[in-house]
Amino acid sequence: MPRISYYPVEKLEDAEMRGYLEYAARFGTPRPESQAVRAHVPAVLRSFSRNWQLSFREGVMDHAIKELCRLYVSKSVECDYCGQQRSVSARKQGVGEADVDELLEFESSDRYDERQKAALAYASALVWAPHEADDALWERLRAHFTDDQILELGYFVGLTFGQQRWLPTLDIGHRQVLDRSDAGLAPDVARA
Amino acid sequence: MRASRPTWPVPEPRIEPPAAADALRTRLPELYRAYDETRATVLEGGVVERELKELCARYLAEDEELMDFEGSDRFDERQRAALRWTHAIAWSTEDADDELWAELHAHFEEPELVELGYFVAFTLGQQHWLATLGFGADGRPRER
Repeated sequence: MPRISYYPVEKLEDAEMRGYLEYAARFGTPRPESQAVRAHVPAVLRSFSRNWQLSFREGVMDHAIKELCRLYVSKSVECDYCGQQRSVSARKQGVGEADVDELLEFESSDRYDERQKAALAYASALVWAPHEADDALWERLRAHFTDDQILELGYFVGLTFGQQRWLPTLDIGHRQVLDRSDAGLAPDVARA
Repeated sequence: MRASRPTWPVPEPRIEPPAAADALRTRLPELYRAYDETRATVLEGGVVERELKELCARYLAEDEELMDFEGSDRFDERQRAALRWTHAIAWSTEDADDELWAELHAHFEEPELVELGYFVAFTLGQQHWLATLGFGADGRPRER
């Protein structure tokens, strides 16, 4: 059972708030459970949903690279709830399960190009040693990305990192709220 | 001819300039608006008192005055529960066990827990991001 109850989503009267839950049920990332916890406080649900929409689904940085970084964070900090989700858009853009499998060894893997590796190295630094993001890392980033792309990537990785530290303390699980489809679930947890 | 340098005393700024971190955020205008709304409604406003949230933010920033909060008598049980959860979120999620959750539910209503947890998570992410950019937790450039 979750440590904080799921807000009864059928009682959400505000169309904007209901829309965030409906979107989660239809597309995932995020799936509805984390949103149903946030729904206790409309300002929190709106804050997360707006920041997530603008920094992850939209923005100036490639969505597929941001999905790789999101999943790197999941594996790195061991947030199973988030790591068992997949962006439908990123999948359409070519991010497959094999790309997920080698994320923790991204530097030595030949599955990722230099652009992806630079972004993943930044995600790793942000999570584990943000004060050590040195000149070499910034040169690497600037070889592939504009300053605005780097800013957006960092803002997004910070957002998902924080959520992926908080959510494991809540003991939430999949298919506990608005369980209508496998949208946004990883193959190993989707229904057969 | 160039005017001579004024000699009158320069007054303090009448209008506070934006923090350097905000100047960076405004490079992504839509995202900045979402951040600014979050600051107003969750980080500074909301249902949990701002002082408690600031205490948790200082703990995340490893303020030396707070790191030994368990051994200090300066904090009440509600503050201690919030700081223990903050510690669990930032460093040790397995510490969020039955005992801690009993404390949290004894001192906070569920909406308060949602806002406080989200605050800690959001602030943790912002602090790490700003650190990669050479900023301290206060949003000002770190001295080198």
